[in-house]
Order: sequence, then C-alpha cells, then structure tokens
Amino acid sequence: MSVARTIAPHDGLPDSAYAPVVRAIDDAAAADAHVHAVVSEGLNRLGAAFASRSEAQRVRALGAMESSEFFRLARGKTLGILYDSPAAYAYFGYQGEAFSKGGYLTRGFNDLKWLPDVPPQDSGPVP
Amino acid sequence: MTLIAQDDANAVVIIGSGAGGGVLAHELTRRGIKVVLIEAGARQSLASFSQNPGKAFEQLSWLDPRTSSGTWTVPQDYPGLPSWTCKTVGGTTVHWTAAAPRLNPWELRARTAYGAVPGTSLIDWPLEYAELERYYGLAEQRMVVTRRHGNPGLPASSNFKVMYNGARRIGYKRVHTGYMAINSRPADDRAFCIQQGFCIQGCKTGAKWSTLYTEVPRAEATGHLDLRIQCQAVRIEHAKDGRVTAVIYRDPQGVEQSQKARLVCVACNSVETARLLLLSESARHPHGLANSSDQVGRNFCHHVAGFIWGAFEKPIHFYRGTTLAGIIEDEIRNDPARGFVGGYHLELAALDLPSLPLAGFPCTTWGPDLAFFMDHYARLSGMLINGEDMPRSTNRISLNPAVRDRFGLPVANIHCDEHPNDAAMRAHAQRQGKAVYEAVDAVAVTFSRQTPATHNMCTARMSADPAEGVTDAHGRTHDVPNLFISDGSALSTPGSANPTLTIVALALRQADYIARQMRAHDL
Ligand SMILES: Cc1cc2nc3c(=O)[nH]c(=O)nc-3n(C[C@H](O)[C@H](O)[C@H](O)COP(=O)(O)OP(=O)(O)OC[C@H]3O[C@@H](n4cnc5c(N)ncnc54)[C@H](O)[C@@H]3O)c2cc1C
Ligand code: SF4
Repeated sequence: MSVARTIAPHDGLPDSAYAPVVRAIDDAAAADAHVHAVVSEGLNRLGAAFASRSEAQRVRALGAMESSEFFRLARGKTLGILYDSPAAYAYFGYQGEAFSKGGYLTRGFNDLKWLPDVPPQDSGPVP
Repeated sequence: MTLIAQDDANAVVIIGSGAGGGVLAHELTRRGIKVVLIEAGARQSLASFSQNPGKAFEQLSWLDPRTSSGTWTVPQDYPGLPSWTCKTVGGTTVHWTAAAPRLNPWELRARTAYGAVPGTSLIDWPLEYAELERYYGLAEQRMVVTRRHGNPGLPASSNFKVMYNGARRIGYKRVHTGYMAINSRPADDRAFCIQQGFCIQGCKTGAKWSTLYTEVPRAEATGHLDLRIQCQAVRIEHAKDGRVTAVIYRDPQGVEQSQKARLVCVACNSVETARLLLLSESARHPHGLANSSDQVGRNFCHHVAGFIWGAFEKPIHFYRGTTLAGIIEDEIRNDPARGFVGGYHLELAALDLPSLPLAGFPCTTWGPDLAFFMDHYARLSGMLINGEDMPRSTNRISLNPAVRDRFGLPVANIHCDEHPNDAAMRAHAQRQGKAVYEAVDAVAVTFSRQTPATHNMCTARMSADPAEGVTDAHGRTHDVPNLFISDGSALSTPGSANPTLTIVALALRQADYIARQMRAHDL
C-alpha cells in the first residue's frame, strides 16, 4: 500500500482506491512463483519500516530500486489500476465516454472562457 | 459473400485490410478484378467498439509479441509494445486519429535537400511531387479531409484554444484545426463528428474515415471481394521463374491453407510486411523474398514523436473533443540553422485518464512529479511532436528466433538507435512546445520520450536504384515482377507528415497501375 502511495501519491484518495493495486500484486504473486520471489525480495529490501518513513525517504528508497523488476512491476500495476476506476474518474475530473450522451459537442467541448476564441478561419463551424 | 476458389490462379491476393490494403482492394474490385483479401484480425463494427479505453486497446491492437533493441527509449518506457498497430478489419485506420496532412515537395528529395548526413541512408523518392500531388487530391476527396476541396474545418475545442493562443503569442502564423479525415458535416454516407474524443478507441459515429466501414464494405458490394478474416499470412510462395504463385495462411482454426495468386500485394503495416517477406525465404531468395538488395526491414522509420503536456491553473478538460484536431505548421521546413535537417509538426493531443500515466510519461516519471500532473488532469493541455526521423540502415526489422508466435514463427525484432538529428529535433520541438504553453501561463510543462511507433515506415522502400530499396515507384518489387508493397513500408523516406494520406494516395496510384498492367497483360 505505501509503495503504491509513494509511486502515485494522491493524499485526497482513500486507501480503498489503492486497495485494488495491492490486490492485483498479491494475485500476481500468488499465481506465479517468479513474481512471488520478485515481490518478497523487493519488500524485504525496502524493510518493514518503509511504511512509517517520510515521503521524501520513501521516494529515495524506491528511487534506488528504479531499475529493479520489483519497481517496474509495482509501477506498472499502480499506474494501470489506480486511474481506471469510477472513483478515480470522479476525483481527477474525467468524464469518460460521451457517445451514449451525444458526445461533448453539446457538453462543453469548447467551453473554455479564460482565453480568446479561435477566429473562424482557423476553426470551423459547430454543426 | 463472394467466394473465390483457393486454386484460382487468376485472383489478386492482398494481405492486410488497413489503409493501404483496404483502399487497394476497393479500387481493384470496383474495376471488376477478383480480390482475395487476407486479414489477420477479427471484424468489429461501430456497435461493437468498446467505450472502455483498456478494453478497446485489447479489442483492436496487435498484441502478438514483438521484441525491441537499440538505444531508443521505447523498450524502457513501453516494454512489450515497441510498435502500436491494429489487428482487425480496417487495420490501424480503426485506431488512427485521422490527421491527414501532405508531405512537402522537398521531403521527396530528402537526400538532395539534406545532403550526406552521416549515419543515415537517405535517398530521394523515385517519384515526382506533381504526380503524388494529383493522387493527394483524389485521396483527400475520398477520405473527406477538412480544409481541402471546400470541406470546412472542425470547430476548435478548449484544448486547441490553449495551443492556438500560445502559438500565436510566440509568433506562429499557420495554426488551425488541421487537415482531418473526419467529417465536419455529414458526408460520404457517414455522420459528423460529435467531439467525443474516443477517436483511438474506434469512432462510434463513423465520422472518422476508416477502411472498416468505407473501403472494405464498398469492395464487398462489388461482388468481387473474398474477405478472409482471422486468417494470417505466414509465407508467400514462388515458382521457378521467380514469380509469386500463392500465399500460405493460417485459417481461424490455425490450419494451414494456400491461396493461389496472379499477383500478391503486401499491406501488413511496415513491421509485419518486412517480417512476412523475411519469413518467405527460399533457395532463390535466401535472405527473404524480394531481398536481393538486403534492404527488406532496413531503414525503419517511426517519426520523432512525443507528447508535450502543459498544466494550467484553470480548467480545460482536454479529453473533450476530437483528439488530434489542431496543428502548428510553422516548423515544417528545412532550416539547418535550427541545428537539424527536416521539419516537424506540432499537433493537438489528449489522452483519456487511464492511458495518460501509462502512455504519456517516461518510466522515470512517478512520485510527486506524476501526482502533480495527474492532479492537474482537468487542467492539462497536450501536443504531439511529429517530425521527420532519419533513416539508418541499421535501424531495422529482423526475425527474432528466440521468441515465437502461436504458429511457432519467429517474431519481429525492432532495432532502433536514435540519430543525433532526431535528438536535436526533439529537443527543439520540446523547447518550442514549452514556449507555447508558457505564453499562456502554464504552471508547468513536461514531456514524454519517444512514443511507441504508431507510424511505421520505409522497411521496403521505393528506390530508383534497385540496390537502395525494395520496390520501384509503383511499389512493384525490384526482384519479383508480380509482388507489390502497398503500405507505409514503401515510403522512400518518412517526411514529417503523418503517413496515412500518403499511403492512401500511393495505393490509389498503384491500383491504376495494376489495372493498366493487367489490361496490357504485363501482370
Ligand atoms: C493510436 C494511433 C493513432 C494514429 N493516428 C494517425 C493520424 O492521425 N494520422 C496518420 O496519418 N496516421 C495515424 N496513425 C497511423 C496509421 O494508422 C497508419 O499509418 C496506417 O493505418 C498504416 O496503414 P497500413 O496499410 O500500412 O497498415 P494497417 O492500417 O495497420 O493495416 C495492416 C493490416 O494488416 C493486417 N496484417 C498484418 N500482418 C498480417 C498477416 N501476416 N496476415 C494477414 N493480415 C495481416 C493487420 O491485422 C492490419 O489489419 C495512427 C496510429 C495509431 C496506432
Ligand atoms: S471525436 Fe469525432 S472523430 Fe473522434 S471518435 Fe468522436 S465523433 Fe469520432
């Protein structure tokens, strides 16, 4: 959990958002002896005190392992899973597919107001 | 459904139904020529496209293994995916984001224009620009490209407004919503774009041109097309006289089948096209079919490509709107004073939330840096660099016997060492992109490194001198008179334009040529 929280630190996200990442790593380790060895060796190297360290210390500890198979696995699972849930969509402000609602054409595709509009010759008519 | 007998030696066999193969199949069948179209992937439809980015990727992408080597950063950042293409009816035109710019005249004379750049294998195209231009016009009309032939541009999205204002503020002049093969109004019996931003996942309105729902069904409607889906070509056979005679493929059950052929056109997208030729070695062609020059698989180009992300204080919602509809054209010029030869495009870009951390950043981005940009997800703006990369004979597709696909055949290895010209161009483009965003008060700007090769080119290139390439100016191989290359492999050099319009233009031209030669009994 603290490894995932160090790789992708979003203080506003609850532990429940990170739980599927931990589960996926556990499942992968349970299914494959090599992955199991990689994970336990990686966790051993980090040590039991890892979770209680400061963020800067955790970043340094993981950074020292950046090229290890353990880190690549942990990073891949964290990035692949954390941002792909309804909770993450809501938290980061992503509205997902819009086809079922008629696209963003009528739902704010050009609603930015803090810069001037693009003149017609460089844009095109809204259908 | 039309059936052509497997022992019908009069059939034209096209392998691959993407940009090149799909267009060629339609052009030949509409002239009454019998075509067997062999496609490795399954067939999807507007209704079956998944709206979950991860599932769409699995539904459409070529996931058979490929390996990679060399000094480029792709093996680190995208292990297992050195090249990103589709395996489905329609090929990568199902994934593509439909930017359809033209090459420029000097880009067809790269060797002359750039001189003898050390460590490159640059050549000039064996084709006059005026000739290509004529087919560009036909291709654009067929694909309904915006800003061409009276087609209106696409309307600017919020993401483009940011890019546009920044670009204008630093003095760029040619900035607009691009030349897109996407309907800005209903046309070609297809709907208009509703700005949903799922262009890569398969456009559910059909506003985006794809051979899946244009060329392929129109070819079927002629009654002259026999489309064989989930059939993978594994070998092309030839007779004693050197002419190709049949294509060996695995049917959906994995059983080996043979289709006789009057002529064969290979359009498997550069990596697989080179692999298929290399797999088709024989006593007569010991280094692979049509490879007496040893150029098959070499000179692999993929464009200098990478993302630029700007984070802002105010909301943008860059995922709303057509993914790639925006371009800065000012850097498309050959000006060695910038420290490199050739030019580059800056194009609008956005990624959905789950894909951004996986595809948008180098593997070295994690921790607080990653969190900062992800926390700004709704306040990000994005651009894609697309520049001319330098061909090198050592950047190549070769067979990797250590890794095999499910048929037991060696997979393709992609070897790339980045040329210093590519690195200099990338650094320049990143500086310019950063300046664009800083001109509109970005709080931070970051970059990806080289992205997986979505543009695969030049691995069976056209050349005037048979020793320097694989085909002539019509894509007809120098070695084998009835074997054609009909996809991006045939580009002599990559130029700076996204390649698909050029692939389609060359396929249209090749279809004219094949039909003419068949009538003249040359084929
Ligand atoms: C995400 C993404 C975005 C892109 N955006 C753009 C863009 O904006 N503009 C642009 O110009 N280009 C873009 N491209 C690139 C564009 O998709 C390709 O240039 C174009 O589709 C290449 O055409 P092709 O005919 O060479 O190959 P493809 O379209 O890839 O077709 C090849 C077909 O051959 C089949 N095949 C391969 N091997 C075999 C075999 N052995 N037997 C049978 N069938 C086989 C494949 O399954 C595939 O269907 C993009 C690509 C990607 C991935
Ligand atoms: S944005 Fe337009 S082109 Fe892209 S998927 Fe939506 S409708 Fe299709």
